[in-house]
Amino acid sequence: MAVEATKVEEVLTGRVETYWYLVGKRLKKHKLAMISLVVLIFIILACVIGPYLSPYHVAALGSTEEVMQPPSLKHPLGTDELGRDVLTRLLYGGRISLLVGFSSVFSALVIGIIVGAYAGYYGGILDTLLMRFTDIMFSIPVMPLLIVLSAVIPGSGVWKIVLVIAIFGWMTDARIIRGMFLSLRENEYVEAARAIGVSNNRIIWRHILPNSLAPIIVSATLNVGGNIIYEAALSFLGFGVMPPTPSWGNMLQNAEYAMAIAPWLVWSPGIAMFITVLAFNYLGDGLRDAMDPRLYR
Amino acid sequence: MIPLFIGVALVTFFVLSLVGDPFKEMLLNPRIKPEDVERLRHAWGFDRPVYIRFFKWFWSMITGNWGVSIFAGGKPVTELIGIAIKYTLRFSIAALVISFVIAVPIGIYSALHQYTFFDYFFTFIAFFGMSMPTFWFGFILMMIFGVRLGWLPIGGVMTPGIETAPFWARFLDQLKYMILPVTVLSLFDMGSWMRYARSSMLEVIKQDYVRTARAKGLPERTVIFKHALRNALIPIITLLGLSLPAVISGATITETIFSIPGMGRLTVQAMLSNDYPVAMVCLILESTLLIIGNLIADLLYAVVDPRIRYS
Repeated sequence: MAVEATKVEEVLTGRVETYWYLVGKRLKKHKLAMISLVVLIFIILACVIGPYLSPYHVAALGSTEEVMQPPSLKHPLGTDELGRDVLTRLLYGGRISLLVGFSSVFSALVIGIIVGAYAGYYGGILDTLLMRFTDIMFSIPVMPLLIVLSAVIPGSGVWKIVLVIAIFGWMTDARIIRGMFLSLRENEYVEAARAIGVSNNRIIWRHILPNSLAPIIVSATLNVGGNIIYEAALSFLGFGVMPPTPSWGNMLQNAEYAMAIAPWLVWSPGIAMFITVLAFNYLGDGLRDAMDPRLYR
Repeated sequence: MIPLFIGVALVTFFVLSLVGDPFKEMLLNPRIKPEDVERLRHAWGFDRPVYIRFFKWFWSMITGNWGVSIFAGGKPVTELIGIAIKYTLRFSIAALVISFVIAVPIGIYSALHQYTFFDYFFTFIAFFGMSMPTFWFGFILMMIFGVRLGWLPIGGVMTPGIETAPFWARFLDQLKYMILPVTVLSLFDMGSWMRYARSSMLEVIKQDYVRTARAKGLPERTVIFKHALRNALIPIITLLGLSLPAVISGATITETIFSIPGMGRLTVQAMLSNDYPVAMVCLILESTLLIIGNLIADLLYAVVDPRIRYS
């Protein structure tokens, strides 16, 4: 979509200040958000590439002398109760945790967008039905049902957790999107599109949706961090990602016993999780500031 | 509100029914006769379709008969929940009061001294609290104060055998068991209270009427406490209404790692064994509170903010 230059400096520099350009510019000024972004990229790269560089295999059991070794040059974060290298498992577990974090947020967004968009665009009885259902889902205590659903659904997989978290995580997105659609559908460009015979579906997905994404980007960023903690809590309780696949949560499963004899097993997954979630929170905060229309100037 | 309530009951009952037959494991026990298991199944309605079980349960619930637990020696549901709520309230109210009393003044002070060291420091603390996985933080505290230093107990609610001790000894003993869980619970809440109070105050002190108050020469104290603070507290009070349900429903994870026999743990244990009379009452209680909490928040908002009127 071509945007016309409206300001003098835009004409002079030849660069049009679109909304996203301004958001990017403001975000760059938010120091903590930028640091967080760098940290996150580093963590993601480490988790993706790290396991290939490690001399140890994730599931490779160590010899008996290597069981529960404190951190050393050979094993920078020590070894666990089966002699496996903790650093390798941490990086591999990071893959799983980040995968769950991102894909659960994405799945929840998809559900939320579909529900919110149709409710907001069509209104009427469809809106009432969908929003009543959203209210019902909102009024259900999440944590007990998360635990029970992940215990009930068969399989040990990562995707089960993604599904379960998404089932209970789409309601806020749906409400925000519905609100955006309610106001955006009254705009002239929607009317114009309708006048030239664009189908309803095309108007929803191509005309309105791109304009309504800004507010949910912030909540999506914050939710990645939140869902990583959800996954960790579920895996820690034994209902999430099942061993031998490591995740930051299930690496803490034996922490209760390790506390007294092998404290390094408790520290590393938690610190990794904490730094990641902290970075997502700072990034989300920076995005919120950058997108806040009241801070435009 | 009533349809919402019925909808919640339906959805939770359906999810619960996915857990399956609670008597399945008894069939593996050679000491229990299959006929007896069949009798139990019939008594609890597990030989019938889910919806019939739901209607039977729903009817007896709304007519005031909350039933007895399938397990736990057939104790009345109300009795089980009564005990659990007592423990949950003890921890959650302490955490709520502590986090509110500490965090809100800090948040407001941060807003009044934006971009100072104090502000940056406590903003970091707030993010720290919000980003900390609670169960891990619990472990770290247990590891340091319970295992390493041995100062505090690492779980439970009281020392076994203390029941007969005099009141003060019992009180102090139980207080000791509260320190770690309450710290964990309040650290997380503190973060969001601080952020909320700070942004709410920042919003208010930019308003025209605050500038007017300053311009007409009122002392700074009057401007802050009379004109700004009162308005900044409106959204904070609303949030207080929204956090009430959590006070009753308890924190499942924290209760689990500190072995506190509260509501969160009772709910999950009952659900996992499909002890549906207990689980459903717990869940319904929690979602009713959630619904009422929202309502209270809306009403409070109207009470403290005269600009909002519900017709």
